[in-house]
Amino acid sequence: MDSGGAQNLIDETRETCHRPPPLGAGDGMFRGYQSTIHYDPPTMTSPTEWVELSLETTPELAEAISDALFPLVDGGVSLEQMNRTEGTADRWEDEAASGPVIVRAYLEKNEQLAERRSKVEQTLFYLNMVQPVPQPKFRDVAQSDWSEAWKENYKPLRIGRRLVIRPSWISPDADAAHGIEIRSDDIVLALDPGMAFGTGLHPTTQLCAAALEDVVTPGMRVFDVGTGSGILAIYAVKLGAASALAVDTDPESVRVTEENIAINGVASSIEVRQGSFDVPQADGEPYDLLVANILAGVIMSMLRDGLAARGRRFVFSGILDTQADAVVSEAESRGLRLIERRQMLDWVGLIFERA
Amino acid sequence: MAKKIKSTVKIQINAGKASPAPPIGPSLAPHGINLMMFCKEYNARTTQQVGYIIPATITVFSDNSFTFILGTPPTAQLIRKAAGVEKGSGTPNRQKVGRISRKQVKEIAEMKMKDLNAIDIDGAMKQVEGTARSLGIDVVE
Repeated sequence: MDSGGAQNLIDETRETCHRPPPLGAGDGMFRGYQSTIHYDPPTMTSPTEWVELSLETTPELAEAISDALFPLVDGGVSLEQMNRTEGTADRWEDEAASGPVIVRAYLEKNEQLAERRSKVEQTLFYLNMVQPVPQPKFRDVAQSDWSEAWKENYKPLRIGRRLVIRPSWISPDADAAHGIEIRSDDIVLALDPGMAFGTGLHPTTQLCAAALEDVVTPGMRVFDVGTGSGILAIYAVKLGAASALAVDTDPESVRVTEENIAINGVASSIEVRQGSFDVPQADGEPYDLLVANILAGVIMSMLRDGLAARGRRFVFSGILDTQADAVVSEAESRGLRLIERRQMLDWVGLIFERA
Repeated sequence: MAKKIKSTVKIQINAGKASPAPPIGPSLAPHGINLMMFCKEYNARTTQQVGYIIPATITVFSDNSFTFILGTPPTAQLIRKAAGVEKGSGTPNRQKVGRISRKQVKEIAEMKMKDLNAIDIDGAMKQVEGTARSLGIDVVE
């Protein structure tokens, strides 16, 4: 459905409504809406807790509600539709889910919560005047509610030629049950990626791991920019690098990487810092190898800002095949020479050295 | 190989800004979806559209694998960007806040064609024009 009407409604609401909707106003499903919402006072300031608004509605109305809520909530809106039919489809596009839609939106629990919630309520109130909007449910959610959920599907896996990644909560005894047979020259890495990038499942991590196997030589100094879970820095050291500096702008990543280097017994060889490729460095010497598995746009921007000066050899990934030429030409204009281009699905890994 | 579809989740988020925070974390994690995998895929594939809302429709299969397709930004957002205005008019019948050309309407209609219930480009353009009117944005030749 088109979003125009709903969008307009929001704008109208914002411009004309400076007072809360009158209590008891509205009809049908809207009645009692204000009085039944239970709300904890906004005492928490932690960014890891939110209030979730959810309501079940038809697909058409869901789009309008989503458009209306979007500018008022954190991050965006999700619309979940459960499949009621039992069929299967050869092409999944042919079989759309067909049940009711659950709209979910989130507000961070902080001092603005009451004010923002009241704007959301006003918006739903005005939308309800156009077409009946089901009564929303509110509940508190915390990051811990979902940060563990995906772990169920995270199993030991083999990537590159020698790397076995074993989730840190899974016992080595369970390897066989997961179809993993450890060979004598395998490197086993225990990992809890938490909410950081680098689980080993993504093609870009696999491209980088395989590239490290080919370019890491004993005694190297390695710089892992955008380390995520720390997976590539740890693997580089396990492959013989003398030391690694792992940086990430995300504090969660720094925390997770510190845990992972401890689990894998390489804490003395890896320094973890919050920041980017330009973190201050005592000796200023370029690293023997710089690995950055981020995104094409980020890598190109770092190249423009002097990334090439921080290494001698480079492994870049997080790049789609359609973006690779642009990254190569940016790197070449900064004095790097392409040695190898590798591809997995539509993801590319690039190996450069300083010309 | 045909797999049974468990559910679909459509996430409306800003291009290039996916993170495991809400709405992605609490909406996708219960389906067993690897959040960081999704964020990496979404952010890489939407870097060209930063500044727009790019919906992702995620199809979750019974074995918890998933695939997703990217949609187009909401029509209203495309019109506001084309007109160079932050927001629509509160009283679109009386107060006009901007204007766009027929050529821009056609560009937006072409981009939104697959999402609109229109049988041809003229029908899609009519819908776009209707949305523009409701925002208080005039369509000029």
